[in-house]
Amino acid sequence: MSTLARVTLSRRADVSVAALEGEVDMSNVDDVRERILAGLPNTALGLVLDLCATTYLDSSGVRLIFELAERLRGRQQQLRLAVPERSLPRRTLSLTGVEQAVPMHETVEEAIEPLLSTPGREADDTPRP
Amino acid sequence: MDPVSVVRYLTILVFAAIAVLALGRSRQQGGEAAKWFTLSFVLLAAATLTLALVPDESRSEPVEWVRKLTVGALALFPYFLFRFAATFRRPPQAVESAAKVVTAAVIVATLAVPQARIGGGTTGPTWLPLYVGALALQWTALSVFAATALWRAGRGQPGVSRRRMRTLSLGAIGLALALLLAGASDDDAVATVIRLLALASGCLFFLGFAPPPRVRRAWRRSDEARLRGAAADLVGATTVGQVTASLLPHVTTLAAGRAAALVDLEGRVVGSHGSVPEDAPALAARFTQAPFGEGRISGDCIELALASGRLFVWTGAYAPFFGRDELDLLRSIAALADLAFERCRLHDVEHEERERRLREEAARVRAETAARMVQRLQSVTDTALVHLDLDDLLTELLARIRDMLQADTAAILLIEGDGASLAVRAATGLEEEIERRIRIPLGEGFAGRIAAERRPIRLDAVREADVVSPVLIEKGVRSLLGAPLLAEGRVAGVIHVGTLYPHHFTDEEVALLQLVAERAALAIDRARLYEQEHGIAETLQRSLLPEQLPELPGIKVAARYLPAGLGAAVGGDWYDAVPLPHGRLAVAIGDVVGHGTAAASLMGELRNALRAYVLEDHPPAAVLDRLNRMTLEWRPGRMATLLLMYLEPDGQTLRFSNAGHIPPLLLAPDGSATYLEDGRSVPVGVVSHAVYREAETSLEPGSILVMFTDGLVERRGSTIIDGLELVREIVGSAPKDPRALCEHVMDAVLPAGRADDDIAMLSLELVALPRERVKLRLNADPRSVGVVRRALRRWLEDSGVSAGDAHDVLLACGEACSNAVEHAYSAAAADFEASFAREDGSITITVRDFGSWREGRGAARGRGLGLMQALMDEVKVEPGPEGTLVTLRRRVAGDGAA
Repeated sequence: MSTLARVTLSRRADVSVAALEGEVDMSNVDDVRERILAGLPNTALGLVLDLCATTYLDSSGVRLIFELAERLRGRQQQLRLAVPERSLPRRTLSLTGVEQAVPMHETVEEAIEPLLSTPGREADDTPRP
Repeated sequence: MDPVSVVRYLTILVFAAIAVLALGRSRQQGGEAAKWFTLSFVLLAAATLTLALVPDESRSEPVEWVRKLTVGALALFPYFLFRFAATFRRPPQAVESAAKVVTAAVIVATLAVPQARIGGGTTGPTWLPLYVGALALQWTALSVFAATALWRAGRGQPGVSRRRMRTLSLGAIGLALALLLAGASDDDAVATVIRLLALASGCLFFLGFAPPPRVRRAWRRSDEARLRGAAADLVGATTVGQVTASLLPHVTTLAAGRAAALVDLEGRVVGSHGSVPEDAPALAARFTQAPFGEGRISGDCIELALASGRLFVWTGAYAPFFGRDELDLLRSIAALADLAFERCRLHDVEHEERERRLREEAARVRAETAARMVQRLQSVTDTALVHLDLDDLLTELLARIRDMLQADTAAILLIEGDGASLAVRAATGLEEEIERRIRIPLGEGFAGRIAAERRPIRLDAVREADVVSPVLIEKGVRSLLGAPLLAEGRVAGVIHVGTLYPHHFTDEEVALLQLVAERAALAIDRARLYEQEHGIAETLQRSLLPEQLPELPGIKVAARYLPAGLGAAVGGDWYDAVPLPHGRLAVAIGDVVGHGTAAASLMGELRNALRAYVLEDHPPAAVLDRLNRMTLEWRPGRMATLLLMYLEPDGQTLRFSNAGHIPPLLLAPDGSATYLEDGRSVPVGVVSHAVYREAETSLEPGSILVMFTDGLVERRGSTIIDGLELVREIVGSAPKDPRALCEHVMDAVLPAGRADDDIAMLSLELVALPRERVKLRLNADPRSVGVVRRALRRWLEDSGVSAGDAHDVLLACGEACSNAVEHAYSAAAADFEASFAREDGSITITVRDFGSWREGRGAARGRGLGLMQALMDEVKVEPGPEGTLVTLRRRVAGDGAA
């Protein structure tokens, strides 16, 4: 695995969380995509992409987010981003119109919340590391 | 008793003493002279005693006859004395006869004359005076004759003998005088004088016959001067011949002899002087067994045993009588002669010793010269293996061979590739042969014949028909000697030497050249093989070193590789610098233990494996662990030291692991140089369970890292610690630029520029990026985007641009680079350039690719350009036939004026 970025997968109730540390550019974006999708079961309510520790995100990262959103929509799953307002990736995302397409939250917890409260799904508050 | 009687008896006593001594000596020594002398004095003593005992007054008949007989016997005394003296100087026959007749007549007369009358002083008949006169005359004449003979015999004699003779002579004169007086007067006073005279004579005879030691010594003094003369001559003599020639005349003269001879201990006559009697050898043979120092008198010959031989001196009749003195004298000379002979012998021994030493010295010099020559050849061939290439070797060999054989020309011809001809490969004095590329067919000419017949050939007189090469004739070579170069039974070539003057090469010279040729052939063979082997190994090693070091923003890398001297085997030193994806730089330096192609090939394997492992992003220690296992598995028994360092993308963090290699030297911006001793472990290939440690350090901008192999610090005569310290000092004062630093250190450590071992050296500097303008040229690889980004980030940080502005610029630049990489996929030259410049508070980024601009496909792919436009104040895209130039500009806050 590249040292440029590290993807850490975890489950919170029925929500998958993929934490993306480091930088994402055209050289590792395909790796990152594979890692994230590998950790996303069909049964998950949705995916929270944690960009809190991401230091660089360019248009290839933007493309990745759009692709992920597209794919999850097809699986009746939701993609939400955890990306602080004042972070550098946020600027990229806002400049490229991702804000309008994918919901964003300040923290992972905030991002998970709306997924769990979605009708038709039983709430499961027990966090899974 | 009246005084006259006392004198009379004293006289008789003296005579009796002489008689007794003479009797004893005569029995001991024998000889004519001694016999007469003894008879004389026995008679004289007996007669005088008898006369003294006969009463004067008695006139009786028996007494009268006693008197007559005694006086008659007394008449014999002068005769005996005469005979005694005659043994030294024989008188004429007539004189001898006369002496006999007169003596006989006197005796007869004595018997006829009434002695009482004479003794009683009474006057007798008229014929009585006549008788007395005759008696006196007989005594006087014979005594005087004896005295004269003795006196004259003493002439030329050694001091003691001469004086003894003279004393005896005086004694005889004295007696004669006494008798004469007795005959002339009857007076009492005269009688007293006669008695005193007789006593004096007796004393003189005693003195002459048996001189007391003190007198002897005094008399001998005159001889000592002559002895000294002889001694001086003997001392001057340096050979046995000279000693003999000097000794024999001296002893002959000293002993007043007539001949002398020296016989060696084997009985051979060594030398002779004078008229040696014919029986001398027999005599010598008889005497050779005599012990040293013994002397004897045999007839008229004095024989003396010397340490070195036997000395014979033929003197005269007096020898037996006076021999003791002569012997003493001769012994003194003999002692001197022995010394002289001994010195001669020593001198001879010394001389022989010196001669032997000279011969040995000469032999040693010859042997050493030969040994030196062989050694010189040896050294040529030996050093050739280490230092000389084939051409240098041949030149060196020729020069030495020419010197050795004192020839004017020398040449080495080697068999050509076709195996059918010889070509001059090296020559001295005949350099034109090389220039004119002379070829000599095998079997033809001088060299061709040597090669074909495989034996040395010498030409005393070179004729045009004998040689192929016209150069030999043109140069005036008159004589030639050549030998084949035989290596393992094969003719490799021919070596020949020539002189510009007619010369016959000796068998030794032929043998020497053959010896030279043998060694030269071996050396040439080995040098040829070595050249091939060395060439392969060096090519292999060279091919494994990076042709070009990567150019990375903020890092300057330089390396030097110095192969060992040509004579040394190629080592397994290598270095590598590999830019890894995402901006990491891997730097490695290593040294495979051993030399030659085997070391070089392991080096190649390690280098490739290392490249593979570092690409997989293994940490340094893990890479070393894998290389260790690989070496143990595939190259058991081989080992290598290796230092692997990762310079992390931040351009500051250094992670490294050291497998027994010399630690890297860090030259900090403040000028302090320290070895980074951490992270060290054993070399790879040593133990299977080796644990490779890792160390990390942070480098300030401006730091320089220096890595090298042990060839730089291992030098004869100093320890590796001294070497490390020396390099540390040199690096501390070296120019602060990797390339100049490498040059400086190499030059300082190896002033001669030639190492005993290979040396690899790698230096890298973390440079602060220039503020005004940075230009990078990178592979059109997706990973290069990150490299540019990191360089730009550092540059922006260094320029004091705010984090927000920096991010926007980074992002825009990243997009431009991504485009460039994508465009370049179809381009032949897969490179792109990025440059950052700052002026008047704005940042300008240009990214140039060498492919063709593609419009973004789809909304997502076109997002890049949109981003750039959103982030930057100005975005310009200029597509062209050679590629596309993207220019981005943005005003920034921060200390833009700096």
